[in-house]
Amino acid sequence: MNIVMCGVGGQGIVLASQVLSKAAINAGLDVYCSESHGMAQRGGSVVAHIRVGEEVYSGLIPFGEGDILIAFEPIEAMRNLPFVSENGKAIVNTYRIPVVIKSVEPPRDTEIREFFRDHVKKSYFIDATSIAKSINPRTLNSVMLGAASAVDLPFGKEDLKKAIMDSVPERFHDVNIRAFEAGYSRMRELLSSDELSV
Amino acid sequence: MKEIMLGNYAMARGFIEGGVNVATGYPGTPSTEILEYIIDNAEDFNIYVEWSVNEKVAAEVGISASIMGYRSMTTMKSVGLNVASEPINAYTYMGVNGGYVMVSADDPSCHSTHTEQDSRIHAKLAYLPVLEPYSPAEGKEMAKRSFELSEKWNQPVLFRTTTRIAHSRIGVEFGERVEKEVEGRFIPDPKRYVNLPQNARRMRNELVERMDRIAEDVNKLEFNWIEGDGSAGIIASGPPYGNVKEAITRLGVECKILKLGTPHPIPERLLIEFLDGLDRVLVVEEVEPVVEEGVSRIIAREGIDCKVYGKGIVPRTGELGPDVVYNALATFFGKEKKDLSAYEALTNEISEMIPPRPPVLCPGCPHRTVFYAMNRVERKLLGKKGRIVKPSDIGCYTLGYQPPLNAVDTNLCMGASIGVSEGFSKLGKDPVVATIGDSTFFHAGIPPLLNLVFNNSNATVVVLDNRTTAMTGHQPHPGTGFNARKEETKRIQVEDIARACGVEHVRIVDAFDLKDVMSGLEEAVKHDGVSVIVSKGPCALLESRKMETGEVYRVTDDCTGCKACMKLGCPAMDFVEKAIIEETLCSGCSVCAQVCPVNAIEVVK
Repeated sequence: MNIVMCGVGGQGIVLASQVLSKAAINAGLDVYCSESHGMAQRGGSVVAHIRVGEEVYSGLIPFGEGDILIAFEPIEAMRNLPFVSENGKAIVNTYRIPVVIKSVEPPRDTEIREFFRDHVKKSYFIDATSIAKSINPRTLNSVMLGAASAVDLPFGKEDLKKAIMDSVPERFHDVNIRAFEAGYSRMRELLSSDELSV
Repeated sequence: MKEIMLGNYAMARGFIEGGVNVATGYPGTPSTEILEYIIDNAEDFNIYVEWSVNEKVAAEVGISASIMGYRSMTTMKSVGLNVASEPINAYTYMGVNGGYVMVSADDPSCHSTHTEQDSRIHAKLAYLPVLEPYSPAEGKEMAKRSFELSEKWNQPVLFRTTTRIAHSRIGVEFGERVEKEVEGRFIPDPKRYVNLPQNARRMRNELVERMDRIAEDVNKLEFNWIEGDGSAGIIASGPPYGNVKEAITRLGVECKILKLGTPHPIPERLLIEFLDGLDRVLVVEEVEPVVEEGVSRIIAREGIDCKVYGKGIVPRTGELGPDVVYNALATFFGKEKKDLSAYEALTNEISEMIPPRPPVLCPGCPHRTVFYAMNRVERKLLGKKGRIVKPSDIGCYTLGYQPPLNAVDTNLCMGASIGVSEGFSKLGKDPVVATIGDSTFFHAGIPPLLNLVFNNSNATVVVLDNRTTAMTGHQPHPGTGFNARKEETKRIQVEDIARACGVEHVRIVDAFDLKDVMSGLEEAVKHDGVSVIVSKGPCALLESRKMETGEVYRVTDDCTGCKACMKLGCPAMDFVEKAIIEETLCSGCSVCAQVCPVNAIEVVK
C-alpha cells in the first residue's frame, strides 16, 4: 500500500509519517518511508511517501499509484494529487496556511473539491484544524491519523493508537488519543454520508 | 524487535556498532543527523565527537585520530567533500592505522544542495574505495563493516549516501558494538607522514598497488552480488537497485542483475562472471556514469562481446525514482513504457492553479530586517535606478532571494559572498553589500575578509549573527559558547575577528531594530574602505518575544491596505483587502509594526 502524506512545514507531517511507519512495523509489515527534510521549520511544502507491504524495495511512490492521500493542507493536497490513484482515497484538511509568494490567486475551496472529485472519486474534506483546536491545536496530526484509520489501512486502528502513544510524551497521550478519536468519528460520518449518496 | 529509524540514524548506529572512536564533521543536509546521533550516544560508547569549523578541519582531526590508531570518521554533505578534498587527497597516500571513513551525502535532484555532484568521481581522484548502500538497512550494515574494511585495505574509505537513504525511515535491528583496543599515541614515521615529494613518489606507487589489491578483494565483498538469469543484464549501484527490483517484477522480464555496493573499484572478476552469456547490459546509477565507464573499459580490455547501455537510456540528471527506472528498463527490454504525459500535464495544470511554497525566512527571522533594509537603503542612496550588488552565501539567508525581498544577487559556495565582493567592488561601478551567516563566516569567511583588507577594497560585509548554525538544525560553532560535547567554550565574537582582520569600520546593529539596521547600512555603504556590520538577533526558532512574553502582533482597523508590511515577506502575514497577521504563526518580532506608516499594527498581550 502506498500512502502520500503532505502539508506545510510545522504541521507535524514528519512525526505523523513516523507514527504510521511504526504502526506498520508493529503489525509485522515492511515499511519504507521517504520524507522531505530541511524545509520542515521554514514553511515550505513537506511530503512523505510511505510504502507498506510484505517486502518493500523502494521509498518513492510512482505517479498515480498512491492508495491514500493524507493532506494536512488543501493547496498542498493539490500539489500532490498526481501521485494519487484515481481509485484511491484522499483525506484533505480544509484549513489553509497562507502562502508568501502570491504568484497566482489560490483556487477557492469549491474549486479544489471539484478538481479533486474529477480525479479521485473518493475524496473527503475534513476541517481537522478546527477539530484539533477544540482539543489542543498541536494535535492536528493525531486528528488526521484518526481520520486515516477509518479507511482501510493495512493495520488496525489500535496499532495506530499504540504507535502514537509510543511517539509522544506521556502527558500528551490523553489529548492525542481524544484528537485521534475525534478525527476517526468525523471520517466515519463522512464515509457513511458518502455511502448514502452512492 | 525492529525499531523505526531515520536512515541517517540507522547508519550512525552502524558506525557505532562498527566501533567508531572519533567522529567529526560539519553540518550539511542530508548528512547532519549521522553525527547528531553519534553525539547523542557519545558518552555511552566513549566516542570523541566534534562539530569542527569546516569540513577540511573536520577531516584533519579525523585523520589525526586514524594516524593514532583510532577508528575515526568525518561526515559532510557532497559539497563539503570539495572543502575536505585537500587533506583526504594527501592522506590516501599514507594508508591508515585506525580505519578512517569519510561520509559524503550526495543530493541527486538538488533537494537541498546547489550542485548535483557525484562524490564517486572525487573518490576516483583521491583513490578512495567507495561503499554505496542501496537502502538504509544496507547502509547500516555497510557502516558497521566500514572501519574493518578500511583497516584491512589499509586505505581510507568513502561512504557515499544520498538524500533518499539519509531521509527515509525503515525498521532496524540493533547489533553489538565491536570494540578495538587502541593505545592512542602518535608514533612518528616521517617517511610516511611527512608528505614531501621524495616520499610522495614512493607512496604513489604503493597507492596504486594498494588500489589493485582492493579491486581484487571487493570481488568477494558481501555488498556485491549476482542474481537472476537471462541473456540481458542490469548493473545497479546505490538506491536505484530497489527501483530496478520493482521494475523487473512489474515488467515481467527475466534478467540477470549485478548489484554493486562498491562502484569504485569495480569488482572485476565478479563483473566478468556476470557478463558470461550476456549480449547486453544496462547500467543503472544516479548522476554520473562512473560504473558505466568502468564496465566499458573492462569489457573493451577483455574483448567481451557485450553491449553496454547506460546514460542516454538512464538520465544523467535528477534522482532515479520508480517511474524513471521503470521507463529506462522498459526501453532496454523493448516493452511498453508507462505514459507519464498525463501526469506531467496534470502537474503542470495544477502548478498554474496554485502558488509555489518554497521554504522562506521564518516569522521573526532576524535576517529579514537586513534584506528589507538593504532594499530601502538602496532606493534612498541611489534612487530608483541605482543598484547595490548583493552577494550572499550558504545558509537560511539565501532565502532572502525569494520575493518579495529579492535581495540576493549571487550564491556560489561557503564564504564566497565576501570573496566575490572583492571583484564586484573593485572592478564594478556599484556599491557592494555581502550577507553571510555567523557559522558560514567562521567556516570560510575569514580568509576572504582578510583579502578585502589586504587589497584595499571598498565593500560592506553584513554578518547575520543569529548565534547558531540554523539551516541544518542548530549546531554549535565557535560563536555559540559551547561545543558538540556541551562543554563551555570561549565565545568568539565576529566583531573581534573583523577588527583583527584589519577592518576599521565595524558596527554592531540590533537585527530587530529597523532604524538601527538602516542607519548602520547607510553609514557602511558611504564608508570608503572595508566595512563590517554584525547584525545580532537570535534565530526565531530558538528565542523569540513570543516565547519570552507570549506577545504577538495584530492589525487594527486603522490599516489602510497600503501593503508596506507585505514587502517583508513574513509567512505569518496575509492580505485580504487589508493586512492580516496569523497570530499562531507570529513570533512577536515587531518589525512589521516598525514598518507600518500608520501605526496600524499593535501588540497583543
